[in-house]
Amino acid sequence: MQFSKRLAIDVLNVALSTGGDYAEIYYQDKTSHKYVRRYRRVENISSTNIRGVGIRIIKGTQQSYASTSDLSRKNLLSLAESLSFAFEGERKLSVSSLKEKKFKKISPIKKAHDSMSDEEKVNYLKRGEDAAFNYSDKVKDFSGSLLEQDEHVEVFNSEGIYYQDDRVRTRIAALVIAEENGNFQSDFEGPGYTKGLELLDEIDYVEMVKKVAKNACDLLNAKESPSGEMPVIIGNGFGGVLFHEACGHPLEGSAISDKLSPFADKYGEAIASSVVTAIDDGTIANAWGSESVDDEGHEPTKNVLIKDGVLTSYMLDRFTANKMGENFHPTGACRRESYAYTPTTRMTNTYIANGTSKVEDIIASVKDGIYCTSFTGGQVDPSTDQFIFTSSLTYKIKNGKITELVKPVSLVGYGYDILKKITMVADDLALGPGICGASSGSVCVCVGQPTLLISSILVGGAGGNK
Amino acid sequence: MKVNFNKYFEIFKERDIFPSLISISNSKSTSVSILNGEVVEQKIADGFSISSDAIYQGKRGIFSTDHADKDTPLLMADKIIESARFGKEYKAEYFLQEKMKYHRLSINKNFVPATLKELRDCALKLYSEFKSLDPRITTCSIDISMTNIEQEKANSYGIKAKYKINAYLGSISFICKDKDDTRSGSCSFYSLKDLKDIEEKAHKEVHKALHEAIDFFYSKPIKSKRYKVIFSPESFSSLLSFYLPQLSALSMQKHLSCFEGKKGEQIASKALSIKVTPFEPSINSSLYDYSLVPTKEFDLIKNGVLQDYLYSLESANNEGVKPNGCGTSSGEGAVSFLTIRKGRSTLDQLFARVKNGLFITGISGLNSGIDEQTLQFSLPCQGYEIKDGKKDRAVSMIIVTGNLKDVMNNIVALADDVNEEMIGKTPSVLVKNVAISGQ
Repeated sequence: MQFSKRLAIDVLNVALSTGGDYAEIYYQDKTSHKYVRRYRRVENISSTNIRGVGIRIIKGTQQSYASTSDLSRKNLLSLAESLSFAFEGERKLSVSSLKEKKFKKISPIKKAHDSMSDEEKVNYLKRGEDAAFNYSDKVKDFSGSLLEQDEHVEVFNSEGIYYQDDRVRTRIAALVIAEENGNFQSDFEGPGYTKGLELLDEIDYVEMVKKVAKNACDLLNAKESPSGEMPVIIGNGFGGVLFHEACGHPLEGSAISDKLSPFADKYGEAIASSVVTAIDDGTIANAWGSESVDDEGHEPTKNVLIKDGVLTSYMLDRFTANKMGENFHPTGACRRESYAYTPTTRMTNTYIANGTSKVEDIIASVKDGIYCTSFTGGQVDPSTDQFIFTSSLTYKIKNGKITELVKPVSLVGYGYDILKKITMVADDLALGPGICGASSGSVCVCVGQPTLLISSILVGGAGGNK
Repeated sequence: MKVNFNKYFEIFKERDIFPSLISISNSKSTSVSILNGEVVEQKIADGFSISSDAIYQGKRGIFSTDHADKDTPLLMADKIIESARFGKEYKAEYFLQEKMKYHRLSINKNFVPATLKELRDCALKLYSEFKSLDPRITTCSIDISMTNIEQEKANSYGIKAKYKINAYLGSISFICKDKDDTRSGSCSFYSLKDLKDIEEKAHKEVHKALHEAIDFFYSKPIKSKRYKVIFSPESFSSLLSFYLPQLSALSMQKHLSCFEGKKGEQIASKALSIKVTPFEPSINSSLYDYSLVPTKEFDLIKNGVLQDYLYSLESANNEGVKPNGCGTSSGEGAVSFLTIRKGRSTLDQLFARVKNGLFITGISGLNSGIDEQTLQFSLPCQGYEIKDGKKDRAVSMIIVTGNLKDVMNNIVALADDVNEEMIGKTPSVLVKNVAISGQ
């Protein structure tokens, strides 16, 4: 325990003095280390430490939140008092003791971040750098990075419980920039897990970098991509950013409870083609988006959002579930980047489940379209559900066969529309890590899906109509 | 939190860490969020950060944290040494060693602070005024915050500078519904004065945003082909913000800029002139850069010709030239605020000149749709068809695609309708031969 229980009780009682229904203290101590090789040398080894507290009060359908890194008793009591003035009323609750709640650890760590020296880590990245420059003289630059996060969280609330959690994450990444006759192209890959340095043993970094270098060099000769409406095959793994952007965000509690989502009143209705089953699963051991307990004390769940095309669940936290009514409960996905952010419902590891089709059959079924195998990210307007995501590796398909690599394209559409246009889902589910930015900051998430076919989607390429 | 810089420098020097730069930021903000006329969240944020950048045994070490107590100077010294062990070779010349004059700027002398209750009342008043504008507004959220930021920097050569800014920040987002169609809109605004001023700015921006959202009901795509396109100030500034990093001197020195060796050469259309204007009173005004080098006004691109790169102290030293106050922590150059030279035509005159084309008023997908290295982009957008020289029907679900170098080269003319955007002051810009994907 790093935060005093006695102080927590006093702060909670001050916060509850104007009639709050619930109060909570979130203490976070997080250290991030980043090792970066670039320009054929160590660019930097940097570290950041944040340590602070967020205090939240909920009263009915309102909440107030304060954050500070000044952890003195005087400052915390004063902040709790200022925060309580957001409400007017008489005390309804008080806290006299706090009992620890234990959670099952779902992401065991085999090798702690201090089990390797800086020298060994830098040399690990150097092997990737050598592989990139040896691949081709068209490789202009390589950036390899190793990110280590060690986070300790303690939460105390007015229900008289407290818990603590340690979260260890590791991510290794490679970016290669290729150049020919003034034309630059790049590719990136960055696997990440809620685990320690065992990740470095499990990944063949050299092979990964060679693949990234090949993609960057191949793109130098890629033709302009086609444009207009066409059938699109989305590759497995990070292709799941489609579901994340188009459907995941509009199914988050804040969008649903405030009726800002097109899915707000669709509970129990068919919102997708019958081949679609979609899940937010915070229970996957060691996955990038997994945590043993969320940021308000709920265990993660395997939450089936869409079953055979029918909307079966939302993602909810304490505040948004309250707003939805007594039939709705938190789903263990209340998250935040740091103590400076008010927590809210966020995705964990969100994916479309395996279907029954084979990848080769999906490709063979497309007469004239594209196959997107790698993505850089995307975004959505949750109120209209319009999304964009960018495919960095895109191939043309003609008469059921992959023909040529084309330049990156954007895919644009409405989530509710695209869900109905998914006609085939393969059996090759894979997950990919990403950083998702929204109102409670940037959090680690996995996106995922098997290879699937969308019968028609708007594609933005400079090569004119297909 | 107060920080005694000298204490840090003394401990650093004892540990053979020299020279060093310490940056601190103290911020306080109070904010209110309302949704459909109900207060949903009130927030008090008390932020602090301290970071140091230093040389240990000829190599660079860096560290940052958000708390400062009696142990922090020693912690920072340890972390700098740890970081520098494999850090890049770094020179003392990358730290400012002689005192320089800083521009005087008082943009906040009339700032009137408000209480949380006054912020709440302001947000609720804005809501009731906005809601009455159109019955099709179904959902509206308003955020108003008051922020105070104090930044202070000092280095071990005795150079020190301080900058303080108070501001009100606001944003309004809304959803409109008309039978089967749903549109959303949003706007953001700020004031360096008082709540009355932010109310006036809110009115101006929200009318514009609402007007556009309503226009887009039942809008449809346009045929896929190349068009003459007028980019609104907002959409052009979005694109420009991804173009500027390629003008960083450090990128050029690392052979990663497509503008390497192009100083004094034509890199854009003759119609384009961009000036770096850090002293324009705005929320992004700046008096000094990351390394404490004073900022200054200068021509970046004049009549399409690249006048200078964006220099940090590091990149300027590498070339033996004077820095121009654009340094960032990475050593790359960046612009805090710029001004694009406006044209002589009104926006209507530009429409007439285009005859048949497209007016793009909004671009989205910027976090993934532009490759900052290759400058290729493919972004969803919306706007209006220009027909027979006039703004015509609203157009949505289209994608604008191309390369930013081509966009800058294909500028035909600029309007006189300058607007302040995050990046600076920019007018609408007419560009020929732009690929649009739609129907």
